[in-house]
Amino acid sequence: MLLIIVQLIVSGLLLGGIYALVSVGLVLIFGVLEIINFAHGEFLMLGMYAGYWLFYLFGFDPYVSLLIIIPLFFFLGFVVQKIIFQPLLDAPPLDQVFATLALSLIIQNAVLYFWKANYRTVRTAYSTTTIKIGQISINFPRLVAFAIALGAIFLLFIFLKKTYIGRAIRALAQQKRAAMLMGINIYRTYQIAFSIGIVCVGIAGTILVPVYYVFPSVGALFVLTAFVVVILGGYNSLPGALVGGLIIGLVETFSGFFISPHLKQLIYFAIFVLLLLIKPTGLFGRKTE
Amino acid sequence: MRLIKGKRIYHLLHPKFYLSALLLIFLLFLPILIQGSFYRDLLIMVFLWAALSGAWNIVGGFTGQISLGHTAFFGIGAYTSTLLYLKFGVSPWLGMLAGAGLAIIMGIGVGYPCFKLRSHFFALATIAFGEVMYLLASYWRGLTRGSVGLIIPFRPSIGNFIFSSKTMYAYIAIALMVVVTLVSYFIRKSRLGFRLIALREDQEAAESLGIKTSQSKLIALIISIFFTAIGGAFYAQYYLFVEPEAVFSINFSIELALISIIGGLGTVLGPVIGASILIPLDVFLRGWLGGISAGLNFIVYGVVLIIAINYFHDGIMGWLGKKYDLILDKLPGNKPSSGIEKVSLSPKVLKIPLPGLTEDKPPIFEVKGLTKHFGGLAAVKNVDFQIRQGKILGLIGPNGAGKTTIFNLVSGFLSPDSGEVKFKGERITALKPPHKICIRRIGRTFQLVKSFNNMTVLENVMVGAFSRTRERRKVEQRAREMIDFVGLSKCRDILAANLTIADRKRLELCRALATEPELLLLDEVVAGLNPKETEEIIKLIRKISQQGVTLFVIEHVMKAIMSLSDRIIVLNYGEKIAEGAPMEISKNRKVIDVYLGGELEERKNQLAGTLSGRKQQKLAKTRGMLLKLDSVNTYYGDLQALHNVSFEVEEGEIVSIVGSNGAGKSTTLNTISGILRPFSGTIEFRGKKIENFPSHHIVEMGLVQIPEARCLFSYMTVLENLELGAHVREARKKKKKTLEMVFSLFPILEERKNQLAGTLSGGEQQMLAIARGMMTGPKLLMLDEPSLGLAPKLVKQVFEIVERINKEGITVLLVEQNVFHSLYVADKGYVLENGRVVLEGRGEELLNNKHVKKAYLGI
Repeated sequence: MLLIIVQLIVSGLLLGGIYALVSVGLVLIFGVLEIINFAHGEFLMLGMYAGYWLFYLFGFDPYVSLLIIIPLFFFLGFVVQKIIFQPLLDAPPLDQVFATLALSLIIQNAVLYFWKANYRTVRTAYSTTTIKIGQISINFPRLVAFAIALGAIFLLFIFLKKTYIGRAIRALAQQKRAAMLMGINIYRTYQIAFSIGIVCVGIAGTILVPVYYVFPSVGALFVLTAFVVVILGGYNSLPGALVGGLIIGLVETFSGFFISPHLKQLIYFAIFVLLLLIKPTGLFGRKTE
Repeated sequence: MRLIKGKRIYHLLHPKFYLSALLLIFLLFLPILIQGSFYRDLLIMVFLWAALSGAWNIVGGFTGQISLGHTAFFGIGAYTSTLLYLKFGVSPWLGMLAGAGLAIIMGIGVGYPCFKLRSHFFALATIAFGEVMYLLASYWRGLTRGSVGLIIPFRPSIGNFIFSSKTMYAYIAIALMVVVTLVSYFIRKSRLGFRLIALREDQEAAESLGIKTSQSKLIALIISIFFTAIGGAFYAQYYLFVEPEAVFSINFSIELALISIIGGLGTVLGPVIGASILIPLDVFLRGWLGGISAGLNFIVYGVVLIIAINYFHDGIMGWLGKKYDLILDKLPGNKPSSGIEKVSLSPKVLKIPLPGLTEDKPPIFEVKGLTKHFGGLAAVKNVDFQIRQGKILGLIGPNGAGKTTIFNLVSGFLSPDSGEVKFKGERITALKPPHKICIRRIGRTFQLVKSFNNMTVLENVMVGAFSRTRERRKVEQRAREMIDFVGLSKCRDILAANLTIADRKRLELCRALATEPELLLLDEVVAGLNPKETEEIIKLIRKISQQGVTLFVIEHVMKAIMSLSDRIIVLNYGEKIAEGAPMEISKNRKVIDVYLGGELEERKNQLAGTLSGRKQQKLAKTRGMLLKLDSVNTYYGDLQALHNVSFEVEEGEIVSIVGSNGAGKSTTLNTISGILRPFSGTIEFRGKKIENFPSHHIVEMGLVQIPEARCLFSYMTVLENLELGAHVREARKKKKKTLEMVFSLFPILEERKNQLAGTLSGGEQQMLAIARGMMTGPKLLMLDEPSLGLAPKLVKQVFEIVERINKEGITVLLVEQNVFHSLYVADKGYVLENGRVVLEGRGEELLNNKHVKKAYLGI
């Protein structure tokens, strides 16, 4: 019994790390721009497709193609922010909700049109490799994904803490007016924050390629989970996204095993609605000014 | 009798009525005229979606709560009626009612608590709800047969709600659409409709007018859910097949919203128009583009959505808008519904018993020991006062003294920690929410005018009148009387958004009066008005008082409150420091000290000698012009906050701008810093015109503001705040040096450098704010009320720091309420009143100037 629990914990944490990386991007965007990015899942999906195509066209291992995908997605985020999100900054919430929903619709269906609905997979040499630690088995790609995810999050934290731009992003998220008075170029900062958010989710997509099927609506599966994580962790807290991601990963594996694999989604939607009603700021979130 | 008959006929002849009748007849013939299975199907879909979206619009449009989970109710309706029919043979006609009932129960259970969430989170919660229903339907195979779905066998009969020809379905769909549209229409015209729209426009104002937020939204929700579920049952009976994919889908929810948005959110006909356009478009796109390749049609959909949001924000009804009314006017039978202009002959408009002998009666409003803490700070401490019926009590005090907090405590917006509030002998302490206060005949206005901008003046006032009676005709008449009383008759049918600020304030008063209050709380009614407008509104307030209404008034404009009030109480740091007739108050030593910064009278003579000596030294330095404002006009929303403000700051100087609250001090600094843009006028800094520069550029040039209320990054440490101050390129190079200088000036900050900024004391926070500003390496440092909220000892310290900073070579522009200290340190001073520069001169001259005192104390 103990063995099963440990196995579940390990699987849950591995899964949670990826959820955390997806959510970190969402928190960055919502915390700084204060817009809920309903199209976040679609960027994850694009990350997966990017990894897939780079593998099939050029033979790049997904982990290697990260080197291309990171700057590519930074650029993508930059463009999307300028065209879609910048004008939304001062728009009423209704407009923001529908504009990002529309974006999600367009991206998903554009991919459907160009690349069809077929499920695609990437089979690398190590796709099915398992590492055994004692009696616990760990799927190798999942472990690598976890490591990269945590590494990326860690780098992000350092970036936000130590660099001028990082500090500017944190300042802007806390106090827009004061940030302006510090001489921070807030529009440039919005762009950078958004782009980093997209890079995070792009990385998450790429590292998932050896592990999951790739198809146009895969984003939808993950994004709702990401929202639960974000609300649980606190919608403007990055450490919250990390902790929340890990917790939800654990909740998913445990409820999947003990209750039913199908109803796991039900469980954390229920958590979601309850959280929104009882404590919308989540575990670590702060009330904004 | 004849008059009544005439009215009936007039109603029948109104274009809205006979046009609708014609339309209805046309609709009745449509199913017969349209032939061909495909087109009939399309027709039915248009009607069904029009009904469904119309139902959604009752919540989404009227209330403003965007639900993306209505698919849940649709699906519940479909599944319930189908399961009851398949398992128990219950006729779908009854089954749909059961479905509606179940949907309503679930909707109240989940949706209702979510109403208090902010829009984004409400949308998320509703999406989650829809998803949960989808999952339940897919995996509860025992009940719903999961993704396989349920098939209804084809056994046509009326009882089974199954028909072989589409014609019957078409008529039922038309009926549903017509019913939903009529329900929308009646809601819009009824008290509920007025209340919902008022809530959507401004919830606080609506509540103060007696509207019960939860109850109103709940009723709208129930009606909306009912029709959505019925629509679901119809869908099931039409297609004879129900599966989770089809009835529990987020695309369904999005489409409902999209139809209403394109047609016109919150309008009655919007959903019908939207459906007539979108559904055929959808089918067409799916056929044409979807046929080419899956997904293409949705791309077009997404683009349509984005265009609709950006360019057709008010939908087609919004775009037709005026043209619609113009066309209606031209049609025969359209007479203005005003009828005879009713002139109020009786001088007693408001039904309030006149005071009579008040001396023996107890005071109508009594407050004892009122206390409220925010965190550790006492915002209001042990405040006592009384008001006698029919009298006017004024409340004054410097910024942050707790005046609005007191208002909020007695009008149902905040609960006191302790104390007692009695109105007409009844204990109303801690009575919440605001509508309960309104019912008891206490009304209020707000500091920032809260008019319902998308309603006409008449409709605004009707919202207030609806708090006393349900009958629409009576309400309309009452509203007209009130509008005549306050003098807004000319503006009756104008949208509130198009009024001047003075008229909007009048409207707010009128609306509050319509609730027939016996006690009226007025919060800074005069703010932002020019002298003439001020006079007029004071006349109106006096008129209201003569009708017997008791008034409790907060004001900053001294002249106004001194002339209006019978008695005045003065608040400082949450405590009452003086009470009496206006004349007494203006001579009260304590009050003068509080406003002018203390010790004014005594120190004046002492200062003469020392001041001139100090300034002599300074005059020796040569100056250049560093900052110059020329005829700057700035608007704050609709209020003109600055009127032709001009002043200069020379290099090396300390310039002080003094003025009471609402004078425009912060607005001036924010305009200079680029946070607000001036409407006209120029701002020159170091020879460049900066009025259109982005804020970060202005900081880079060396013009730095330390904002009012400090605006520290409370979740960052002291050191991080300081480092952020050195963000601009120039400052980064000198960071180390500047940090050393700052720590020597403020040693306590070095001690606390790793502490979170939010945990510092008030005085330490102020020092951090100044230090942070200095890290930018400014040439000109602007400080917005640095002494605000600080104890007297700290206030002295702050001004000493200002002088030290100036000695280091930084020019200072100081904006203050504290007259004495700021003019004492200043080389030059300006007095700002109501957004205008009214006095200027050398610092010490102004200190001795009688007019400064007059401007502050209104004598």
